[in-house]
Amino acid sequence: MALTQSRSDVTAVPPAQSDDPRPTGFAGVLGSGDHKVVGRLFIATSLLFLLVAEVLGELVNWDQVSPGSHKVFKGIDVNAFVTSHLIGVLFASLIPLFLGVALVVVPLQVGSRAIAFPRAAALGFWAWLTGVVLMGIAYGIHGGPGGSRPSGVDLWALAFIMLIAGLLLASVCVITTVFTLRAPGMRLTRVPLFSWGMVVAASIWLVTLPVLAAVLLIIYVDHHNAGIFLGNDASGATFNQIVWAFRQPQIYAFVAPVLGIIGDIVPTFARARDEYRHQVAQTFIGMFAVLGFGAFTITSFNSGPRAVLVQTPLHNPVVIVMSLLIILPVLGLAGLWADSFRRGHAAGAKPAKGSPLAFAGVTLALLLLGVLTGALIPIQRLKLNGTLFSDGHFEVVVGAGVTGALAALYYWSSKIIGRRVLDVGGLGVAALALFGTLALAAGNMLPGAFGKGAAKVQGTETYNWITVLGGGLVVLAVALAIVNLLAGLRGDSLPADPWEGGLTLEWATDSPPAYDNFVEVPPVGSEAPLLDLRSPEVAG
Amino acid sequence: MATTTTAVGSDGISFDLVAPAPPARPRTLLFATALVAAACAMAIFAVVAIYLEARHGVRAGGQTWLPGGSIPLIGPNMALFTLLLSLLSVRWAHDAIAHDDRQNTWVAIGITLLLGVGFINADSFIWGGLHLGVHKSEAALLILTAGGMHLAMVIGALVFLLLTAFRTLGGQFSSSNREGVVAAALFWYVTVAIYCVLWYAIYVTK
Repeated sequence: MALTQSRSDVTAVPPAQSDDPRPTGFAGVLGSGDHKVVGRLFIATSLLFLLVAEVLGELVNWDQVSPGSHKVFKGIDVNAFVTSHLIGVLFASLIPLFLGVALVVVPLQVGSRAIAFPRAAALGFWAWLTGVVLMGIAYGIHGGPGGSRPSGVDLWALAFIMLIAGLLLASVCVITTVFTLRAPGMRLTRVPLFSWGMVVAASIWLVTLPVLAAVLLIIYVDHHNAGIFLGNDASGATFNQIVWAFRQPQIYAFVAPVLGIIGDIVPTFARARDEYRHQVAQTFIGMFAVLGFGAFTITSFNSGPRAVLVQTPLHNPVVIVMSLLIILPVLGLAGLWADSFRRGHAAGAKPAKGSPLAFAGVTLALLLLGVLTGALIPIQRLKLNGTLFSDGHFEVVVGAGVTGALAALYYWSSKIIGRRVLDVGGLGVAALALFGTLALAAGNMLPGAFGKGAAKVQGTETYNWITVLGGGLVVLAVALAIVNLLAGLRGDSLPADPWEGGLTLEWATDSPPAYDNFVEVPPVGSEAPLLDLRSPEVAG
Repeated sequence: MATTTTAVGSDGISFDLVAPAPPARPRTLLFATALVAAACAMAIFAVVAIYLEARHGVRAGGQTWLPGGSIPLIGPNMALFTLLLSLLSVRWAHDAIAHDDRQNTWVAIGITLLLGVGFINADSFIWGGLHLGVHKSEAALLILTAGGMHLAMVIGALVFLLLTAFRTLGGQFSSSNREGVVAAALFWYVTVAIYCVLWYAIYVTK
């Protein structure tokens, strides 16, 4: 008998529980290399930071209701709260939230038993978390861009670099998993859209976030030593050097994963498979992410201490063309997904309903609004660049990112927390997020469009109140989503596929998945392997 | 999916020829190394881009860019030749492991490490001789930032090569599994390529 053959008369004995070498409890969380544990850590902390960042933004809105007087920050530098809101919502919340979901879901979707370099993913989380905490401390000691304490400004720059390094490390793990650890039969053209969206988005992050880190390093070296470029930064010139990361086109790259999230939710709920449209959708998502590459809009460091460049140089033909072209993939995907429901209906399938679909609809609507309004900003004649209109555009695109991330949490909650998030609450949260973001955007965009400039001035009070209302609704939506998630933890255990229509591999494993994900990875012959198993007659 | 072919043995019994299963983690380390190298390159190129733009701005104003007016090319040239030589040694390591020649792999990696340390020494000598003060001028600040980032990358690449050497010593790499050596070599190639850009942008075009 060959050594590799198994004897039929030998029964495999599972190892006793006490023999399991893996640590449990707090040690199991701190030292875990399980991609699901690391992903949950990312999700939990970034949700908390999202709530904090949105509250900070709302406090700023309150403070600026009456232009010329401060309602909240009397005698305090309001710029620190503005920048901490902007940085917090993107780098401490949204991007890590996408990465957290990806760390849990991507290996399951591609049929892998683990993430590539699990320890590096864990290191990425702890580096990111340390960076966020240090940045919070820097703001607390009057650091941050334009801060009054020099050591605090230095700490802010170094903490930001550390935060970016952590995000990049986790991104490398996600991309490598999709490219090298796919199950047999899982070609790149069959990779589920969320995994694909994460690959293309994280690839763009990988070539743009290092540029941001390099700029921050120059800021640190300059500020720590001489102040040749930025002087004492009394006017906030420091933040102007990195503002390109918060404006289009770069902002689109940060929210690109939402298209993949919607792309996975729609076929499940429409009860229709994508077939060749899957590759079309992959192309559109890739196009969206590539058109979000914005490192070339980096502002120049000018010689001599000065406060310059409050706006990114968007008035050039390349940016104008990119801003117009990026509408196409969003419209194309919207058409594909509408067609999915039409085909599902034509085939006699009753479309399912649920919170993820509501969030997906809100996300798509906000993203469409974002790219349409974004196309107006580079048009020089409209004079919108650098005005409140740009701020409103940021809020819309980030709003799409937040609702997209919440859609992912609701959709994959059975894989993330092992339970389903309260479904009834989800619909209300989606509505709150939609109306809140729209109000937040309108309160900024309208005065910007009516020539009120870059700051809130006399005559914008009504709009300011709309902004306060919108910000409040968004804070409420995020808080309720967190409460729903926590309430869901006490719910009943779920089957492998609680939606009863999942098409991709993650729905073939337990909820929550076991340590090594799969007992046996199902065969993959198309973009919807589980549908092939359920109804082979419609496969292909 | 494994490809199966039926063959008949000399004893007349047919059996299946099954293609060997793919390795458990195909090119995972190599792929991740390429991503990290790309990220490092983007960071350093960003500083180079800012350097070139700032230099253009100063020169357009009719001012002198470099603190001493110029940089002697002898030091940077020697540093570049050191790194170019290391390309041969790291390639030697790559080929040696492909032929299961571990002894030559260690020697080649050892020589690469030596040349890498030599480069660090040369770089330190150049900077010391230039008397660049980071607080003195924009040029000094940006040269030291770009050079410092590249130096950090060189040190990272040397650590990677050292770990690879130890793992080769431990018998973990062979002709059938040389991914670690190839990945370390790839990172070293990118490190050298980046220095070529720095050498031309900073020292040659001045």
